[in-house]
Amino acid sequence: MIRPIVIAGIALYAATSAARPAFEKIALIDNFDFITHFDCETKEGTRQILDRVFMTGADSMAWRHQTGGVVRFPTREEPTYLLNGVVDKRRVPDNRVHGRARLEVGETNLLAYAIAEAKKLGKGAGIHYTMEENHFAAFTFGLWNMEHPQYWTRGISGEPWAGRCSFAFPEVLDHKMRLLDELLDANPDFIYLDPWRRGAWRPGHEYVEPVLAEWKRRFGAEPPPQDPRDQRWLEVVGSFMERYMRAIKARIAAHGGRTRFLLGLADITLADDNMWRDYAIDWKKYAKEGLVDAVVVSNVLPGGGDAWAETRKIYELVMARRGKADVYFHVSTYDYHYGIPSYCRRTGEKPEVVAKKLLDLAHAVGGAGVILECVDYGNYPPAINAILQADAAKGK
Amino acid sequence: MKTAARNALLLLSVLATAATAETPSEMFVREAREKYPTPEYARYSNTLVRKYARPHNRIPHAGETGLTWVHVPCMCNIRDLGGWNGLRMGRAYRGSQLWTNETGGVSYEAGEAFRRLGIKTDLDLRLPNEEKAASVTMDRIGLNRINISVAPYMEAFRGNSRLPDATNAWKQALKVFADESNYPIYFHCKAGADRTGTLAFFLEGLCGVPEEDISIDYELTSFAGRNYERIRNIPKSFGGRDRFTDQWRMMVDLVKSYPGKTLADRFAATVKAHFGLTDEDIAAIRRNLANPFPREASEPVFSPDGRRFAFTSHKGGIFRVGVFTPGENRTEWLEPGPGQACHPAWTPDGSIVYVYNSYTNTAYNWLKSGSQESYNIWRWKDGVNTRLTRGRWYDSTPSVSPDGKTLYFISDRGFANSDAEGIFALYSQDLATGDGVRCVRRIPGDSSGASVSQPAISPDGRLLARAETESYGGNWRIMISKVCSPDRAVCLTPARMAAYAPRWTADGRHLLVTGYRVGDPGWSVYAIEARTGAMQRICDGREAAPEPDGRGFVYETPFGNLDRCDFREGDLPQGGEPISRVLPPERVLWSGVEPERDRRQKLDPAFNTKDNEILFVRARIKIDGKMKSFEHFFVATYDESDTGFQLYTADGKVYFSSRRPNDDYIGATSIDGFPENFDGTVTGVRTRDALYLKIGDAPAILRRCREIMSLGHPQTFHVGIPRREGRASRPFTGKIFKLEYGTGWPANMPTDATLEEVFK
Repeated sequence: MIRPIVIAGIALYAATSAARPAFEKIALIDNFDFITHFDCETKEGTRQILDRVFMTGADSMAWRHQTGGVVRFPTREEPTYLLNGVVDKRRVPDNRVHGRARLEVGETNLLAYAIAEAKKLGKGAGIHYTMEENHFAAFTFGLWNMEHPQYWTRGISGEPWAGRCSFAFPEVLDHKMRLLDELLDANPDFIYLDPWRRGAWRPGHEYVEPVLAEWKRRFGAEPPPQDPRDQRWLEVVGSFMERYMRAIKARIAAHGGRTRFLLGLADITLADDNMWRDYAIDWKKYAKEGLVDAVVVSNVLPGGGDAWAETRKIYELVMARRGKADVYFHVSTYDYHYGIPSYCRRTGEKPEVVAKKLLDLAHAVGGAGVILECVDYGNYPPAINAILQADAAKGK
Repeated sequence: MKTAARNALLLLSVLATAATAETPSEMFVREAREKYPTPEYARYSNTLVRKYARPHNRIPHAGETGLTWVHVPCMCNIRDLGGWNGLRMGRAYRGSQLWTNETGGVSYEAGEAFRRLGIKTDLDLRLPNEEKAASVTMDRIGLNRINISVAPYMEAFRGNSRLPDATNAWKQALKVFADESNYPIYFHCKAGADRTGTLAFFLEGLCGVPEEDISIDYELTSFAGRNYERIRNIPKSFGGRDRFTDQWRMMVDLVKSYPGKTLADRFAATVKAHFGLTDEDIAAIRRNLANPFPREASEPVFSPDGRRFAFTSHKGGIFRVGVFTPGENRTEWLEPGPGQACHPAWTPDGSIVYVYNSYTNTAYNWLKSGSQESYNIWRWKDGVNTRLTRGRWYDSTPSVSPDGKTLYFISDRGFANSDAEGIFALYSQDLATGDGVRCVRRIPGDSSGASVSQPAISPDGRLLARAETESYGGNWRIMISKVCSPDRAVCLTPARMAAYAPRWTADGRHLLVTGYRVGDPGWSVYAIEARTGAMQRICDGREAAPEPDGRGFVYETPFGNLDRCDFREGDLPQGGEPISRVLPPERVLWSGVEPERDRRQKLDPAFNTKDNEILFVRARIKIDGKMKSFEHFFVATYDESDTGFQLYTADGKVYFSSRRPNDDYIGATSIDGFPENFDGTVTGVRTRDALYLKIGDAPAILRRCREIMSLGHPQTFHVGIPRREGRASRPFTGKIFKLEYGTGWPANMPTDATLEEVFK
């Protein structure tokens, strides 16, 4: 009896996921990026943001669960009551974007509302789940981190730092999973785990008790290496990162398993070693065994030769190593690391030309789609939107 | 079929979950969630269950107040009765008997742990012959033992065959808590579950603890077993202690059958009717155990006469400033209007300065409205609120000089056009007139987050303590200087400590600060002897305000409530040796002049010791006009990095940078760069964990690092030539008169002040 039910279940799953286009364009959204145009703390403003974002031609959106170190939905994990005070001594310097996030005057759980509204529009809707509740890379910290110094990461010198708690502590992992549970309650189509927004964290910040104990278990009395690029150190730190990934997968499964798990990859080069060196993330292993449903190449770093040839080589390399995972590439107007502006500088081409080439290249190598990192009010100009929209029309 | 398929998927997902090994902590939280699916769980989720979930909570420091299950060798299930539930912390502890150790003797460590907790009295609830079973009495470890045998649950009211006079025993047991001289008290039976749980039930109920929290405290025993070393006869688990058992339910129902407006009233009626306790007994128990101080509150600060304290409440998501009068247990609110009020401080004449923002709409509407309402400093005097500062920026953490003339506060005014973000400087102005606004102290450099906060002037008006951080990458630390020379400051807290919120004791000898050091269970209250820097951890908690009479302090417990604690012997360190730092003098290893630029210089390999010494580079240069472009005048190269450290200019600023072991860039940056037609010396110093940059006569810029910069001396370096790789620089267009490279602290770089200098 079980077998037909399982088959039927798989069929049902396939039917529900069929709505996803063959080539998906996912717009990442930080709702406070729209603060000067829409009242992003209201339903009306949220709907205006979605309308604006989907003008780009995106098929799906990924709503950032936090901004500026503040989780932007009613949550038990990052209590809202401290959001409104200025320069709270426990979290100074101020870490609110524009200093205000008035969730108590907000109308509802805007994250859940945004996801529901996007689905009503016939669009895909996921959550841009940054690895840390911080803004950009470093300069703001989540409340939970500030409240729990005992779990802060530490450098080789032993100095703790408020920026981020170590995932190696079970309590931190528990916190992250409870937060994820709350996000999954919003019924997203996918969770996009973004390691780049990780509180300036590196494997060199993991000289904490659980990691040191694991090092000792593996290597005895030998002191841990000063250089965190040491392969053995990376393997130890990587074991905790893998535990984190597996925990995410387990939470998704516990919520019904219909939410896809997308893992971001940043700064990929032909050497393809930075995710391991800088994040202790063994993405190829996860992809091979199906731990992640897709990897998202949020940018690549071409070498010194022809930018497009190098980019293609890197794309092909990722595709060759993708295992069971789909691969998304990017059409990114942000230039944090290497977006459209970098290609423009390098090649002298216009932004829309670069966007078209990035899109075509993602198609050519067999990518599952692209992400738009991130969509602001006006950073995707009409010329680029036209290219994305034309691609959408072609896909249908 | 659809439902069946969905069920099958759920089954698969459950199987997948089951296949994933849970950590002990995950298991605990899952069990707790299943057991307590209540809003209260969510309410205390940041404190209660997760803190109790910590499996190895030992007592690393004297003064541990037993936040969670306290790990004591040869004992189990020990926890503070108060803290999270409306009872005071550190007053009463519940737990098990003391088992003998492996050799059949008394555990020295157990005695040490109880000494550190400061416990005075042991209330032993066991039968007289029960103590002989592989246990020792607590008087063996120095406690004043009182043995009153009791029976648990409903037997408390009707007795049993071994204790026919159970009610009188309960009367005597409860009266122990009415006597202030017995505190702090440890009470226990054998395992700390049933008889102990019943006593906790009465004490909590009498003191007004909500039924939900009384039940949770009882149920926590069910989880106690997993946290202990398995030695001798200590129970491995405590199943079945939950609110749904008959034994517990009947007891609750009995209490509820008595008259009373509140549950506490019904408890009082119960113990009066059954045990014969008097109203005076009950009042004394409540006075000794119940915490009357504000809950969901922080930042207490005492009035000059010591009769009241102001605090910030964050109840209901709104920040309000209140004034609490102990004894009367009365709170008066400042009520400036709708909005947010926080960070109170007293003036000598009994008024309060605080931060207030009346704006209550969303960020978008604030931006669109052009409203000038923002977080500014206000004053409350005789019930009237008046504004002291005005501007569309953040003013915060005010304090007032002891003579009442000067207002100090921090502000991000003036940094609106900076590339960096989150910079706060310290300002002062005349309190009465608002005139004479001036910047007292700002952190040199241009790092985001470089800030001063929480100024505190010593009672004699001479010293200025505050928290400072030089960047988001650094930790907050406590600095102290003379009021008249705030830039000549001493750091009172070690580099590996995060600390903030300094508050002077009334005699001006100590500072209470909030701090964290590796090994602490969380934020902690520390005392620092200002003259020497000697430091002592006092307890878990933060934002401690010393009482003006010097007896104790009010602070925020880890559960977010205010509480009071007496200073104990040793809490305030005395007579330590002043902290001092001896820096090695400079030693120039290489020196070149203008003709030697554009050439690669090789260092003597003998210098290449990779020993993390202090390295410096000093350049005497001249620039015509304004320097804007990306130009290097010094680059040190290593095997690991061709830009191991560098001195360069870009975007009109000056940079001194180094590398972490993993080749990450880290740099100290000037705010304004070179003045036009600069003619002077630029010096960069790299220590083990910090960079210093000094441009001409300007104050040195400090950038601390969290990691050791492990590169030693470079193999080679370049003078005045562009960087070739990556973002290429231009040749240096200025003139280099002299460039020196060496070890030790360069003579032209000022050293930090010393405590002797500050206190002179």
